[in-house]
Amino acid sequence: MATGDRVLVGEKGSDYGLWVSKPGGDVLSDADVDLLFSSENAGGIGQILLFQQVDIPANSTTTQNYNNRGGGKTFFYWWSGSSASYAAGAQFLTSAAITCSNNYVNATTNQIVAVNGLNSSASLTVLVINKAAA
Amino acid sequence: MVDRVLLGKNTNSNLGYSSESPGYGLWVSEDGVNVESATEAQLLYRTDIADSTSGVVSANGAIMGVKYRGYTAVTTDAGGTVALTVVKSWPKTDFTVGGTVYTPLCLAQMGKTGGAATTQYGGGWHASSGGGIKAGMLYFVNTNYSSTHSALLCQLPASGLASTTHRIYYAICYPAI
Repeated sequence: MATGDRVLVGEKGSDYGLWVSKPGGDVLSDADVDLLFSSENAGGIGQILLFQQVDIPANSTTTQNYNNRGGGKTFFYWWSGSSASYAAGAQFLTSAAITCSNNYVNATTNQIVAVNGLNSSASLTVLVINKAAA
Repeated sequence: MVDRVLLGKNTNSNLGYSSESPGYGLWVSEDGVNVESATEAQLLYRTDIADSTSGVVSANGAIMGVKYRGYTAVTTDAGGTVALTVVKSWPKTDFTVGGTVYTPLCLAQMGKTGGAATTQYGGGWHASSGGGIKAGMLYFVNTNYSSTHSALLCQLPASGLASTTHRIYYAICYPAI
């Protein structure tokens, strides 16, 4: 199993922060690309804020607000289908009548807007990651 | 030099804490920012994410943990099609909590060319408005693929990639919903 140091809190070279290496790695010498966690990731760590189902009645729009953690821009992805059975690309293939967007509202709130132009209800599965967008 | 890592008691008022009502956990600030006075937008990592907004099922800032990763090779027929194919299956027990079977976060992408392609199509199937360009694959996550297993499946509609073998790369991850 691990032969090197795994967790470093404090000084590493000219930097100060927190680093965690993979099993078998050495946090003192491994490059960032080999680490499980590095506080040198200037863009953030990519923490997941939401991963959930959003339901939209037929010919309707569903909005879902969420806390954007201080106005940080978030990465957003959606799949068609419920959380138990979601699909990538399928809705793009079968219909352009469902759209989903991620919108900045203010310094504390972002909003997911899901529009269903179909004559039947629909479900989406949505993923939002903190500070992962430019 | 500033303090960048706080492990334990946090009284940072910019995060809504005080000496009378502190938070406990781990916080890491951006380079050059004192973690003890950082604003929300200046944090790289924190363990106190919660969202009580109506309708939100908070993931609490979980980091994506990869349970399985790898690839499965699929071969298109002469028409560039691959029927619905299992890319990866896993025991339902992997993501069962308290008797409920949850669905993991699944990502997949397809090698643009055969074999160990260095260029990938993003997850999803794409077509030009004129129908001339068709690329990538559909992928489906099915929690109840069988009585014992969940699965990630892929399908290629008429892709224009006739009789070639492509790798479908996948990552089956935490968190699950």
